[in-house]
Amino acid sequence: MADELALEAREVTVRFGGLIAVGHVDLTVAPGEIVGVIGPNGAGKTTLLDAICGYTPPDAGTVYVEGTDVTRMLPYARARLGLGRSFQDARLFPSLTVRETLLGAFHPSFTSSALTEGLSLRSSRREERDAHDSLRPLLDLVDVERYLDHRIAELSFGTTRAVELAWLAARRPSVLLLDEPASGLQQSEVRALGNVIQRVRQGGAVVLIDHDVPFVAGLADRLIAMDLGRVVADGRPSDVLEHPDVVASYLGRGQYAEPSR
Amino acid sequence: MTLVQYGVLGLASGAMYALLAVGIVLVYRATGVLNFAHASMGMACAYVNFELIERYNLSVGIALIMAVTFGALLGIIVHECVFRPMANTPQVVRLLASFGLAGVIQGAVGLLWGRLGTPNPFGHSLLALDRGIDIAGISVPWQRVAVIVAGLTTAITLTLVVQRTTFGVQIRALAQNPLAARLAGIDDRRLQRRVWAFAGATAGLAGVLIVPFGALNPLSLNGFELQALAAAVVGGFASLPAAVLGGLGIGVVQELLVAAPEPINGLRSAIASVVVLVLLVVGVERFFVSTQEAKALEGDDRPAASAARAVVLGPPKAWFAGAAVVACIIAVLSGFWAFVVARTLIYALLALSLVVLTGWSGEVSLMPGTFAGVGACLAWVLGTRYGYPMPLVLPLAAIATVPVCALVGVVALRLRPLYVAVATISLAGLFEQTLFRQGWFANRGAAMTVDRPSLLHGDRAFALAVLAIAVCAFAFVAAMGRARTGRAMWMVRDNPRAAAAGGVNPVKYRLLSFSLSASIAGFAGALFAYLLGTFNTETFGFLVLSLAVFGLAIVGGIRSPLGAAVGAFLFVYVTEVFRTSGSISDWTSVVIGVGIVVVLARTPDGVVGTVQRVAHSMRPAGAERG
Repeated sequence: MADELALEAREVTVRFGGLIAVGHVDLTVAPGEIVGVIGPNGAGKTTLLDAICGYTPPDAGTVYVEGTDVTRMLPYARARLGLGRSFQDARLFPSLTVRETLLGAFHPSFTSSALTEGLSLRSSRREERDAHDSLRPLLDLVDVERYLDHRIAELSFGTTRAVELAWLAARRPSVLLLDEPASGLQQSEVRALGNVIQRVRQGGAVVLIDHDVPFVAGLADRLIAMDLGRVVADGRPSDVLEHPDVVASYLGRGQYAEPSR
Repeated sequence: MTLVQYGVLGLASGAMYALLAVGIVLVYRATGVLNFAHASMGMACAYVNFELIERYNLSVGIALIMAVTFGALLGIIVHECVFRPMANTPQVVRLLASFGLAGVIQGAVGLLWGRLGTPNPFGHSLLALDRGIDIAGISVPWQRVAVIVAGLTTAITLTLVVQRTTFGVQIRALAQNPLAARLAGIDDRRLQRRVWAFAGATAGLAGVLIVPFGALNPLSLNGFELQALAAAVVGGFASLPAAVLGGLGIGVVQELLVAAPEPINGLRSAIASVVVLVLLVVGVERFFVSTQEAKALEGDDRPAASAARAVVLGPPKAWFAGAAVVACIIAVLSGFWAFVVARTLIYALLALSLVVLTGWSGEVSLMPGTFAGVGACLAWVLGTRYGYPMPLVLPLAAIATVPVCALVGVVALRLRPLYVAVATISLAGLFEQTLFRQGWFANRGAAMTVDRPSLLHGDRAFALAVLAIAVCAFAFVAAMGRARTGRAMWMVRDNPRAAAAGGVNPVKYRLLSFSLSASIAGFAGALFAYLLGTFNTETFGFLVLSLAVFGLAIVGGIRSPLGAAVGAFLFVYVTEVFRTSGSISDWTSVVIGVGIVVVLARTPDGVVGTVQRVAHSMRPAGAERG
């Protein structure tokens, strides 16, 4: 059963000192499924992603990517197994051009080494050319062609987001982890983002974190609501959004925050 | 002498370290500048003091007051002209600028007063040198007592000021959260100016008080700078009391080691380096600073991460064409000028090692000269002692430098860029005190001779050989830079987390750039040994070679191999031009120092980047193509 899942996290726990940022969280994603994760600030959403990607080693729990136990692997090794990750800050690589950034996405698929490249051997020159040729399909997914020779630092936030998505798509990850892709975007850009995500994933599974609940709910096949490091609801988007704990965690509880009817 | 007597002597130098360290820590906390020129500023004040007494016959006390005032003014000038315009650059870049500043100050003092100022110590003492109090059986001159008392009182007073007054609270607020401090109504510009004035004044006081105990020359306080930095590290660059105790401790331990038996007493001059290395690796900061403040101090950028345009690499063909031109030039040069060209090419190779490491990976290791020294010593060991031929010695020197450098790389992986820079300064010192004095490796620091093969005996033939080797190295690095490896290094430099998310192993590429950089430097060092014929390890000292190479790489443009070549050319050109006008290195260090500061503050890509930008802006609109 386990090896049929694109991503499986079991009993993941992350503590910061005495604070339990993520406590015994299970997250399973089937191939091709879009799972949305919502929750107020401090719910542990980004920490969960960091634990899955390996930036924050979990204190307990196991993470499988397509059936392989990656719990003890470094972030770059997990990425090579098919985990793609976008970042909240979308900083990417400020001094690289868009072209260099996208070429960099093909890094794991090269066989050349520093030595063969330095000697300009034919094999490494061919690989470099092939990578240049592979840019074309990416530019069809995300329209950033006219920025190819601009540095990332010169781009607007929205364009950087687009480049980041193309950068992710280049590696055809089996699971895409998107950390607040809509934050900082204008409303019109958010509307376009859903389509871009659908194109970029190319059939891969997606874990989508965002504060924009309608955006996430509109895109996700399944919704997980977190609060205070725990999963409070898991299921169809419409069911999760009506779950009383979810309503409470977003609007607060008590006399000043009666759920409106 | 007894241990107590050594201890008293140690207290005097320790008080000076403490006094300097307090200034370094204050400035670092309030402005984020780790000022390597701090002791040089004090040295300049000592010269002013000297001038006032010798030429204007002022009394010692008045001269002291004026010299300290000059120190305060110098601090403000340095802040306003050098560091305030750079406020938004990464801390390690400002550290590099302070090396340039030190060069400017030292060169300027050398030009104004000549290198060999030897003041009459009695004329400059505030108090008697020949009379004093008896402590533990030795007579401690009043001047030395004054040094201890003045150093400690000032250091402790400043410490109390920072801990107890609004001024101190404001400094701490500024260190922890500059934005919030400004919003809370703290006038950060005035505060920083005051801190620099305080620091300059204490540096001046230290400089003037130290004078009677040693010869006065432009470099005389550089040793103090390293000890004072070590004391500042003891306080985690944050705690003034700990820095004061650290300074005293280092001073006392140093003197006590003089009394130690043979092998251990050699550690005397290495003790500061060891202290710095150990404390930085242990992460001393966390004992003194809240995590929040550590983060605020840290800054997020590695150097060279957000410079202006794309990097100039140049296709291999262009490199070979350029080399053909240089070869024709060498063919018609005299032996002397061929030697100069060969030296330029070796400097260019050393700068190339920094392009890979600093320009592309954002690591600041201040050891290019040290690695070159390792290569040169290996040339002596393998070439002269074991009689290996040059074609075998050069690659061996390149390979053998890698494990040495792996050590540095492993230390560097644990530290943030600013601390890597400080740690490598200490490591360079440690190498100079230990490995570079071994009989089997460096002929105990005495002269070593390496013979060129008979075919390359003439300077012109050798220059041509160096050219052939250098162009291959440049073409290799440039080709690597335009391919997968170069991109991976840049990605790791710009954003290691995102690079890892893209399947790039950051550790691998950091260590690779450390190794590659060291082997280029080791290789160049071995070549340098063959070029010089006779040399000793002093040629490869941190203050002699490493800083010069760093300066020329920055001025040329540290992200581009072409910049390395241009920087080396400019450096040797400046050196040769000013060689004819008398004092050689003073003008050179002023010019290079100004170059470093200007480039770091204005155009991060140096001469090459500036030319590229100008050329770009003159191109007709719409012609933009990559």
